[in-house]
Amino acid sequence: MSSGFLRGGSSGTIPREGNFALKPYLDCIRETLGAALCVSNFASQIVERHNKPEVEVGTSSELLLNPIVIRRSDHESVLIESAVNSVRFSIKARIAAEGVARLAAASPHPAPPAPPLRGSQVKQLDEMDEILARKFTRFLMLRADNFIVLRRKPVPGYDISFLLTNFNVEALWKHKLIDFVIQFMEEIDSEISAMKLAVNERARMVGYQYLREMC
Amino acid sequence: MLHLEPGHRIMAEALAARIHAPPDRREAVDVRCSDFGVQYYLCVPPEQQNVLKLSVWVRCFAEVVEGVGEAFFAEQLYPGMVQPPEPGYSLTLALDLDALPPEEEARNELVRKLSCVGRDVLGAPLRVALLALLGGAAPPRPYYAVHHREGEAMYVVPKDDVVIVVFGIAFASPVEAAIAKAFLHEIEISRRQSRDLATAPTVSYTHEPPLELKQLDGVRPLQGAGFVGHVSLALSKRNVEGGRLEKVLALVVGYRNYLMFHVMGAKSQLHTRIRSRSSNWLQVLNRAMPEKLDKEKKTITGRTFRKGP
Repeated sequence: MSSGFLRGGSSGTIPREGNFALKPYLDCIRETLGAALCVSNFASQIVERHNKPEVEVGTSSELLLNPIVIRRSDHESVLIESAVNSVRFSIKARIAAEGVARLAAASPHPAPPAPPLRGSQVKQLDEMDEILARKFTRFLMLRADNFIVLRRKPVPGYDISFLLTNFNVEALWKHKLIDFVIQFMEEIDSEISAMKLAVNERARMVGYQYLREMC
Repeated sequence: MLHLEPGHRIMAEALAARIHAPPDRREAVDVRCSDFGVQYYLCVPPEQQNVLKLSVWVRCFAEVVEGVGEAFFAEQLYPGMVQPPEPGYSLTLALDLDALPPEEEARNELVRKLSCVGRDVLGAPLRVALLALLGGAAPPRPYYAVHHREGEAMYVVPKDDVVIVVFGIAFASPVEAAIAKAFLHEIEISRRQSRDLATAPTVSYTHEPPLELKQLDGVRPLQGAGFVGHVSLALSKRNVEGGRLEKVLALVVGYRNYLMFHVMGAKSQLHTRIRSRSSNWLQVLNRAMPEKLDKEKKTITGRTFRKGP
C-alpha cells in the first residue's frame, strides 16, 4: 500500500497552518499504526468459544506485543498497545493530568494573561484549553456507540482511546480507518484553538458593547 | 439581543394588560415568575378587581433596606404604593386601578417602572449613591453591600467624585467559571485599548479584592470553589449626567446578568461547534466502510444489473 494512496483520503480537507508542524508526528503515527494493525481473528485461549480483544482482557501475556509510545512533547503523546487480534490507541492531547488537578484545586493565583491572538504556534496549557479539550472528548465518548472504534473510557493517563479489533479491520478499509484517526488528531487541535479564539473574540465584543452603552 | 432588557418581559406584559384595560373589562390574574435571582408575583384578586398587587423577593432585601432606609422605597421610589409584604416576599406594592392617571403616556411609564422593580430594589443603594454624586452631596455612607446571590456580592463605594461598584463574581460550574474569566479579562482589555471608550467607566478585574474594598472594615472577603474574581467599575459624574441615570443604573445592576447571559451563549456556541465537528468525523469514519459490491441491483424495468465481468 503506497503512502500516497494513504493520504488520498484526507486530501479533501483544507490544509491548515498547524499541519506543517504536526506532520512528522502524524506521519510517524500513521506508519506505526499501519504496522500495528496487522491483526487476525484469534479466539480466546482461556475461555472456550470466546473471542475477545486480547489487549483488553490481557489474560495471556504471550499474545500482547510491546506497547509503543510516540511522544511529541511533554503534553502530547500517543500510546499504541497491540495484541494478536486488537490494537488500543490512546491519545494524550493538551489536557495534561496536572492541569485537571489544578482546575479542581480552584487556582488561587490570578488568571494567566489573555492569550495572544492569531498566528501563534505556541500551545498554551491554560484553563480554557483544558476545559475545551475535556468537553470535547467527553462529548465524543458519550457517543462512542456511533463511533464504532471509540472506547467509552480513556486508558488512565490519556485523554481519549480507540480500540481497533480484527473485526473492525475486516469490516472497514484499513487505510481509511487510519485516515480517520489521523484526521481526528489533526483537527481536534485546531478546533480547540479556534474555539478558544471564538470565545475570546466574543468576550471582547461583549465587553466593548457593554462599555459603549455607557459612554 | 446583545443587551438585556432592564425589566421583566412577562411582568411588563401582564402589567400592561391590567393597567391599560378599561374598568369593565378587567380580568383577575395570578402570575409568578422569576429571573436572575429575583422572584415576582403579580396578583389581581377576582373579588377585588381594582387592586393590583406586585410582590417581589430578593435574597438580600434586609441588607438593602438597612442601607437605604425604609423611607426610600415608601416615599421616594414608590410613594403611596408600599404595603406590608405578602408572605414569602420582600416587598409588596399595591396599585388602585381606578385611580390611575388617564394619559396613555403616564400609564406606560408606570408599567415600565413597575416591571423594573427587581432592578430598582437591588440597585437602590447604587441609586442613592449616584443621586448624591449628581447632587454634589457628600457620600451618605462609606459603602453598601448587596449579597444578591450565594457567594457573590455587589459593593457600592461612593467617593467624592466617583462611585465605585465592585462585583464579586462566582460561577458554580468550572466551565462557566473559565469562560467568565475570559470575559472579564477581555472587558478590561477593551476598555484599555479602544479609543472610543475613553469616556466609559474605568474597569478593572482582579482576583484579590480591589483596594477600595480592602480599606473598608466589615467586608468579608468572598471565597469559594467557583470564585472568579472582582470586577470594579468606576462611575464618574460624566457617566450619569444628562438624564442617563436610569440607563446606567440598569446596565450596572444588570452586569452580572449580562455576563451570565453571554457566558451561557458562548457555552452553547461551543456545544454547537463540538456537535458539528463530531458529525464531521463520523462521516469520515463512515467513509471507511466499503460499499457492498455483491448486492444485486435492479434496473427500473426490473432486470438484474450485474457489475463487473
